[in-house]
Amino acid sequence: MTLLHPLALAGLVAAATPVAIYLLLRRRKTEIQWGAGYLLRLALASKKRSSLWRQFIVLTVRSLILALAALLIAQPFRPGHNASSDTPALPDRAVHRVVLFDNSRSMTVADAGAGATRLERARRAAGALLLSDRPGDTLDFIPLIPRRGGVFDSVALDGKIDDNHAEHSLAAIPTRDGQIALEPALAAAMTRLALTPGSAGEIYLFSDFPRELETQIAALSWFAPLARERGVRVAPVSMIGPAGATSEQNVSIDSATLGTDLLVAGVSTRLYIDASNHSDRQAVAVFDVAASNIPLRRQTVRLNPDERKRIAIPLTLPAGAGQIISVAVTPTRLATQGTRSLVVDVKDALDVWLVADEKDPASPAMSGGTGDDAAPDDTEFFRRAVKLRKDQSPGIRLRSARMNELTLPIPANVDAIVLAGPRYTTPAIAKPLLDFVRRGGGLFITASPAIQLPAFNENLAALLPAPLDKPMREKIDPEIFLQAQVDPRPSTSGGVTEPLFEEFAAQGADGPQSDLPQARFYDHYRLHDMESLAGVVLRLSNGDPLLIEKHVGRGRVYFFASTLGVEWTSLPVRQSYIPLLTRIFSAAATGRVLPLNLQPGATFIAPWPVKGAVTLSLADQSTRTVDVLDAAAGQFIVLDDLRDAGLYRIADSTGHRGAFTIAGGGVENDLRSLPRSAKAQLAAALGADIFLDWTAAVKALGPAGATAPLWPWLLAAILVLYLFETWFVRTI
Amino acid sequence: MPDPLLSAEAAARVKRLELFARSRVENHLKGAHRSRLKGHSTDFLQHRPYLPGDDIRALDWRVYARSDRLVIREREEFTALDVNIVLDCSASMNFASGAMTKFEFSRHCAALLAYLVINQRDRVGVAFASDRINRFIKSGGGNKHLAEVFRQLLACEPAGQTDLAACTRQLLQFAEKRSLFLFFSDCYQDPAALGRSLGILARAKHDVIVYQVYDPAEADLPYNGFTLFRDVETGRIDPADPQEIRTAYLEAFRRHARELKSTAMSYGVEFHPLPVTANWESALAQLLHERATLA
Repeated sequence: MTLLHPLALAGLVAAATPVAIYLLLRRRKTEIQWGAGYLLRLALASKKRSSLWRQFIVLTVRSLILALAALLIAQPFRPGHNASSDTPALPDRAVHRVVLFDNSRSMTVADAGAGATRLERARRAAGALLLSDRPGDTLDFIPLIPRRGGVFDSVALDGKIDDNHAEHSLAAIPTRDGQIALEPALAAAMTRLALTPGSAGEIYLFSDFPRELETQIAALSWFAPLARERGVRVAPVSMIGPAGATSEQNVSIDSATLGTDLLVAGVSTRLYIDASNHSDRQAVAVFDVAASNIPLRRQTVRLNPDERKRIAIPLTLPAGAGQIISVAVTPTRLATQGTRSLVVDVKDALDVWLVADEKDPASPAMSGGTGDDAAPDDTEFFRRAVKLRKDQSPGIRLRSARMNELTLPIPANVDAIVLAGPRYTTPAIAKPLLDFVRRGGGLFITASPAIQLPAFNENLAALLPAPLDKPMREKIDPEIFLQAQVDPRPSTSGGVTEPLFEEFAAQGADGPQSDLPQARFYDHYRLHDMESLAGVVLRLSNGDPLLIEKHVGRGRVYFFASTLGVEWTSLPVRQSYIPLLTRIFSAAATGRVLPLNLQPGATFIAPWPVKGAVTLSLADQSTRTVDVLDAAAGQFIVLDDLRDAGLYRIADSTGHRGAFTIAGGGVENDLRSLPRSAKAQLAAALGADIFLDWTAAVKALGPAGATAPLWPWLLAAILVLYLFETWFVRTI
Repeated sequence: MPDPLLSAEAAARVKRLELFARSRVENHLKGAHRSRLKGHSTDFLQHRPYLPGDDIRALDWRVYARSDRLVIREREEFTALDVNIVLDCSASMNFASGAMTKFEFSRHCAALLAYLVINQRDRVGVAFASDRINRFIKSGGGNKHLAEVFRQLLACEPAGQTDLAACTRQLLQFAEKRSLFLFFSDCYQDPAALGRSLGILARAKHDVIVYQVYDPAEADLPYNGFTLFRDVETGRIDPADPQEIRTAYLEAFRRHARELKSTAMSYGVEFHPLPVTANWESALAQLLHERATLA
């Protein structure tokens, strides 16, 4: 015997109702004063023996009636000789079935106890439908993730087909990263069914019903009434294994970013990993960071259920272009969500020009000597500090330059220029500096008491984040000072969110960077419109900006509101002095390298040394050939509108190689099914219960070849029992 | 009549009815009832042969003239009736499903009958019975006696258990003359024992009428749901579902009434079931009317 609605067996609990009512009534006693106690005892004496049996029989019969009623609702039937447990019964007329096939990546996982991936289970169910197709029947497959542009690449089959054809048709449905489009798919299904008005309509929805569907349920309100009106039978079937996906640990990497695209060999940076635990259990996640020429970095983090955490891993890389950093986490259930790659160019050192004020004849930088006997100005102080602390500035090649050198075109190999509080500025130096920055160079401007403000603001207007106002104080008082703190707002570069200078924040600092908050700032320049100023990296304790970033063209300008030397601040005598300046230089010179870790939809542009064509290996391991663009300035590879996340590799026949990444992973990080309440809402929107698996769906829909429903017999039995109970109660 | 036991309407309704003793009674007062004694009335009773010592004034000279035999002409004697009302005042009489308890109902009936008896120049006495005779008012006549009867009826409160069998033995001692005994009781005891005791009264030439007073609820058991029946006499609690025992209870009630009636008839005792009703005077009047018709 098979049941059409096995859940209705829960109604068997109702069989206990008569007993419960009996016991309840016995609990609710009423007491009365009674005069005819003599007669009552006579009656009780005669009833005592038969009463218990009578009650037992009546209760049994009543319970049996309710149990049979529950069984009747469950609709049992006797399977016939040719019953199939795989295929629902076909109607007498032609049928048009539309199978909405979830082809998301989450369908490729195998749940515990399922023995097969979700996709395989769905394909098996769809295969059974295919094989039951009769001549005149129609079957459509519509993948739930359409092609880019919203086109559903459906597969339509008519008539009887063989096994090979069925297998081929199912295999032709590709899995994709992306958002399930349930509402458009249902609309497409109804449109297909409208083409065959003479056929019975059926819609099967094979999916793991991921949590992302929750936001789409509200848009499905039109579907159930329309399906009812057109008599379309809807059967949503869950393809998650019997144990479900909630019990398995599943950690995903949401993003992996570096402080900057420009890394300097030997200079420590941080790799930031945003990870989430998409399970109902606490997970111990192990993060592995691998790159060429460095040992494997491993970090273990405990994540609570549904917790998202940012993990910072210090990283120092050797020089080299196109280095790939791979990040992987375990435990994870989907490869696309558990791994990330980053491509970086690591320069061996940054070429930095330290520009001294020409008008200061005492400056040793003018003569190129060390000038140890003279009082050092800002530039000289910095130069000596770099020289003394070579271990803290391994990536800087410092060269002193005169102000008038800036009036000439600046060499292309210069990565950054330090303009340390120039007393005089002229339009003649502003133009080359602006060109330098626009082409990707970095400019670091510091303040000094000697700055001639009107000319400074006027000549460097295009480079300064805002015009300087005036120094904070007229006179330095060693007892009055401010302290620096990292602004919590992240800066952005090329669309990549960078947690700039976070290593200098008090709570995350370690090593020489840790004493930045202890540095004292006795004076600084205030800027106009400070409240609306964007790009503030460091602030003073009174809220005034201390270090401000400004993007100009491909390059960046950093303005430091205090002095580079010890005139207004004690920062130069702090351990964090050189690391901070090194960090500023590398951030300023980021424009010198092309972005290699792109956001989806961005355009990849990279110079390529050889003409011809290159082979591009896409994130999904497919390849395609791309022609190298031959421009006047050289050859370039230009790739537009890249959306599939992952690592892309470029190679040509001459052996030149390159790589870049598109940020993001699979859209589906959470492999758990919809919560129960959302599932109920979805079922209501679809107008049909969501079946736990295909076998349950077939049982509910009525297996093909099933015969002889048993409800008439049950109804007769209920009637007989009812009549017996009525007679028994009245007669006995 | 100002007494709350008896309204003027009720008294008027039963005034024209008479309470007849079925057997002849004897009393020193002359009343409306034929006595088994022969007396000086004008109603002929019988002839009998003259015996020495007979009053010669009773000789029927006409018979002597025709037959030359001396015969005495006997006449009937009319005497007053002694009516003893026995009121069951056990605790079970204190049950009521409506506004009136069985005892209150019986008390009203007793008051009405007492009024009726006094009104037809007979004598009335009252006995209050439970497991013994708690109080006995000797029969008497006149309005003063009636007022005393009413006062005692009002003063009585039901208590104790029922044992009419024991009470009848005491009544035999109290009753000096042949009387009419009217029992108002629910008779919730063994019918055979009760019948035997009443039979003793009947064999002592008393007229005995038993009114079985019962509450309609006791005849129907109109309750639902599981119920604790607390016996008002013994305090004993019997839990039962009225729906389940109703059939058996009604059968027991009917059987008990049947046995009471058959046992009473076998001992020459009249038995009348008397359900408690708000219109108690009509019910009693109906009974008296039927009895008068039969007489």
